[in-house]
Amino acid sequence: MIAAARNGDLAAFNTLVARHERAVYGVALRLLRDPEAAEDVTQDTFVRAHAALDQFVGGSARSWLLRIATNRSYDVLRYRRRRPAESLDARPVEEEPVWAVETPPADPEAFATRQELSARLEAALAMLTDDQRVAVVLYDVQGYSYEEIANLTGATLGTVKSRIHRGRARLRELLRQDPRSRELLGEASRQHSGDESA
Amino acid sequence: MMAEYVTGHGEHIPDELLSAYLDGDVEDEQTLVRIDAHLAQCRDCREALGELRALVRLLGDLPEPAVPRSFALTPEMVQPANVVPGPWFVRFQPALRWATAAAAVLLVLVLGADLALHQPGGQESASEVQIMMADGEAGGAATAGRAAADAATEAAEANAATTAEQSSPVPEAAAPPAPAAGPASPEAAGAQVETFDTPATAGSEAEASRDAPVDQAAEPFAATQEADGPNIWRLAEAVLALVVLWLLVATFALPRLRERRG
Repeated sequence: MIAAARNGDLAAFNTLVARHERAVYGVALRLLRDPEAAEDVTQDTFVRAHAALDQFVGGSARSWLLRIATNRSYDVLRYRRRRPAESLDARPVEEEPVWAVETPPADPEAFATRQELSARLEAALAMLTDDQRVAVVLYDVQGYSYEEIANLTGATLGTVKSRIHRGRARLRELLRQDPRSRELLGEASRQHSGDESA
Repeated sequence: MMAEYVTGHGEHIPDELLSAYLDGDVEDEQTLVRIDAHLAQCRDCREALGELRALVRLLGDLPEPAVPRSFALTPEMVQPANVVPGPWFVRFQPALRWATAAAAVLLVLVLGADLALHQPGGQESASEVQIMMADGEAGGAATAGRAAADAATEAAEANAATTAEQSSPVPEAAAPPAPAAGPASPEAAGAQVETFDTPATAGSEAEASRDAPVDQAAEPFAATQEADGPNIWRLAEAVLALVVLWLLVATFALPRLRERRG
């Protein structure tokens, strides 16, 4: 498909877009917490990917696209940090994005629980500092290594680890502040240890 | 941070350390032993560890969001013309830099060759010195022009005493401002016509008033008013100077101006 796209077949490239746009938009939205900015980054990611098709050496198209999206999102975060007043004005009111679009599994009750907890976890993620959120999202959600995150953010390995661990600790703290979230987290924890012992 | 942790009696393990423990990221052997020992007897910390583990798992399983629209590329998006390249002076910035350097070097070479080929030392008449004065005054906006005028005045004084050979400093002092005075040379000629009540043109007067058959090549300055020979040098120097000036503006002033305007 990439070979076809490289030969100028836009339809072939757009098949790739359709397949990965959710993942690309997802990482941009989680990192930026701003649907509009995430949209811009997503479109920009595909435009850049198309322009750089020659540089794609093979491997996973998904991780290649996610890498571009992550880099672009981080650029936006850096830009915001440099001009905080402007970006605060530009940032739209936090709207709740539609996260859950999974097909329900066999166990509808467990699925509903997880859906609810996931939504609460997203909200908690949005409350982390930019640095912690970037580290946690890239490490735990996207599966990047410490080294990759350190390279991307320009932080030391120790700083990256510290951000991840503090970020997770803060997530747990945030979830436990709300009784319902606390209950759901405890349930997920027991379910998980149940899975392991089974 | 992780290795500094010491579990006291009745003290729980911080979540951050538990998170590192979860990742197998606690390297200090003693800390590891203490954490294991504490976990074995502390229910709260086991619960915390379990919740952190569930949290990490949830993060890895977070559903991808629904996209607000399709991000399929349209033909316009992938056209190279769609990429706004910026104005020409930004696009050709590297080439402009090289061109500026090359033009400047060329100007220096031409000036040098001019000076070397047209060694001063010939005799000059009073009128020529006066022409120089007029020219110096006309181009007086430039300090260099003033310097030339001063030099010319000195030369005129020297000339008044005797019609002997002119000292070489005059043409040398006058040569550098030549390119700058280049564009103003018509004015200089005009000023000269006003100064001298002769109906003749500047060139012909300079030609006519010469009391000795001076080698034209030996007169770099007076050449501004001459019609042939060294005039080509003046012209080349003036053109080159203009080119250098224009390139300097295009290379350095325009991008800065654009930047300031945002």
